[in-house]
Amino acid sequence: MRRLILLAALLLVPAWAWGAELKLLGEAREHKFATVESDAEGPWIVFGPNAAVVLESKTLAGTPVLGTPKPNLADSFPINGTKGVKFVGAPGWYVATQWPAGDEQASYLVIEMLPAKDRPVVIDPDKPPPPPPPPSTATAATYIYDKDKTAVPTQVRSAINKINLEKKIVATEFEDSTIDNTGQTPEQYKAALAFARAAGLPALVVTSGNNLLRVVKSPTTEEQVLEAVKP
Amino acid sequence: MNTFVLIDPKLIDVRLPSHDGYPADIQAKDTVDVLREMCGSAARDFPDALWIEPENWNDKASDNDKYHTWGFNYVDRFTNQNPTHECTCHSLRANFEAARNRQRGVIFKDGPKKDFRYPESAEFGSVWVSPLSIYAEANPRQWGGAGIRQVLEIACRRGFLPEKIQPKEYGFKHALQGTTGAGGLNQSRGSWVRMSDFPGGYEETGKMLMPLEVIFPSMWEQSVCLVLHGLLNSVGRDGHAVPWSFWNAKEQAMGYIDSYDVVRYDSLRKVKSAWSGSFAIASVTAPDDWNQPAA
Repeated sequence: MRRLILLAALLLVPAWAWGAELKLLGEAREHKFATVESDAEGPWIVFGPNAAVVLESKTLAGTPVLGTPKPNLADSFPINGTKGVKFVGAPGWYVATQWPAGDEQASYLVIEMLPAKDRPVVIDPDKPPPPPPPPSTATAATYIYDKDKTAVPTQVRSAINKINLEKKIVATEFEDSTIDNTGQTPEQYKAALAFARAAGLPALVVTSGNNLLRVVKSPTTEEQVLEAVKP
Repeated sequence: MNTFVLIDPKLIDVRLPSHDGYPADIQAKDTVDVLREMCGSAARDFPDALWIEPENWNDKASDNDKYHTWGFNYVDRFTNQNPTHECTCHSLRANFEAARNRQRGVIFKDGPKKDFRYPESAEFGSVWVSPLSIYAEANPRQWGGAGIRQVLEIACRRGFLPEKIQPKEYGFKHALQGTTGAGGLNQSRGSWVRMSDFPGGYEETGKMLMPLEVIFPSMWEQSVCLVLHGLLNSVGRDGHAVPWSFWNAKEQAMGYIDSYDVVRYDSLRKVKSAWSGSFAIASVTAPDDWNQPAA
C-alpha cells in the first residue's frame, strides 16, 4: 500500500522535469513494461539497479535493443505519436532520462518498479535455494555539486583522495555544469549526474558501471564518504 | 604543510630585477571589466557559497593543513620560465592544472617539488599543459610579455596544448614544448614557435584542455576565500604574474608557486594592492574517461 501511495505521488508530480514533460504510462511492475513518454523527441537512457534493466527498448526503426543502457542503445521510439522509452526490469528504482535536441535541459522521471503481483512462489525441496547475487563492487564515487550553492567540504576532498589512493575506485568531484571537449556531459558522469539530480545536490553517488549502488546526500565528513564505498 | 609558521623574510614581496612578462603598461589594460569580457561565457562572479567570514579563516587554513587540501596540493610540478617573458602563461597553467587535478580528486601531499615526479601524476591522469601554447599566440614577437586578458581569452577560446613531457604517454595528437625558458624534469623546453607552425587540427586537442568557469573576486577578502577553498588565484603585480596557492595564517600572506622552481609569498599589503584583476579557474573540461584523457 505504501508503495502504491508513493507511486501515485510520483505520477502526480512529474519530478525533475527541466525540459520536456515526462509521464509514466501504465503500471511499473516487474514482468510488465514500464513506458515513459515525453511531449518532445530526444534520445533516452534508463538507469536502474542492475546492468540489464533495459530489457526492451526500440530504435526509431523499431529494432529491439537489449542489454546495458547506453546512449546509443536506449534510443527513442514513437508511442502514441510522441516519443518514449519502454522497459522492464527487476523491482527497484529507475531514472528515465531524456536528452532533447539543442540546449534544453535534460528531463528525468524517477520510477519505482514494483514487484510482480500474484506471482506464484515455487519451492523445490530437492534443490537448494539459489545463492545470493555477489555484492556489487563500486567502480566510481562522485561528489556532485553546484558551485554557486555549495563549497566542497575539506573532508570530502580528503576522502576522495583516500579512495583513489587506497581503494582504486575512481573518486572525483564534479561541478554539475562541467562538460567534455564536445560540449556534452562527460560519458563517465551521465549516470551519476542523473542520480544526483534526482536526489538533489550536493550528493555523493557511488556506482558500479552505470548502476547505482548508493547515494549519500550532502556528505561533510571523511567517514560518510569512506563508508559509502564499502562493499 | 603548516601555514601557521613564520616565513623567511627573503621570500616575501620579492621584486624581480626587471619585469618578466607583465610590465606596467600591459597591467594597466587588464581591468576587471576587460578581463571578464575576454573570458566571455566562462566569467563568473564570486559565488556566495564560497564566502568565509575572516574570523573563520584560521580554522579553514588549519583544515587545509591537516587534509592537504590547499590549491598548492593539487599542483604536482614546478615550471621554469627563466629568462623568458612567459609569466602570465605559467601562472595560468598552474591555475588550470590545479583545477583539473581537483576535479580528478588526487592530492599531491607536498605540492610541487623541484626535480621530483610524483608517481600519482601518471597513475591518476594528471596532464601537463604548455604555457608556450598560449604565449605563442598572445605575443607573436616573443619578448615583452602578455596581458592576462590575452592569455585568458586564448585559453577560454581554444584551450592549451599538452606538454611534450607528460607523466604518462596518453597519446595526444598534438603537443608542444612547455617553454622556451629553462624547463626542468617535468617541463620540456624548446625553441620559439610561431602560430603558423602549429600543427593542423591542434584546436581539437585544445578543446580537451580548456577552462570552463573563471571566478573574478570583487574584494581582496574574496581572493583569500578562493585560496582557502583550494582554488588558485592568479594575479599580476610588480612586473610579474603568479598564482596565489595557499594562505599563511601566521603572517597573513599569500604563498605562490613561482615559475622559477620556488615558492614565494606576497604580504597582506601586497595582496590588498594586487588582487583586482585576479582570477581563479573553478572548472575545466573533463574527459570521458580519466584514464584516457586524450581519447
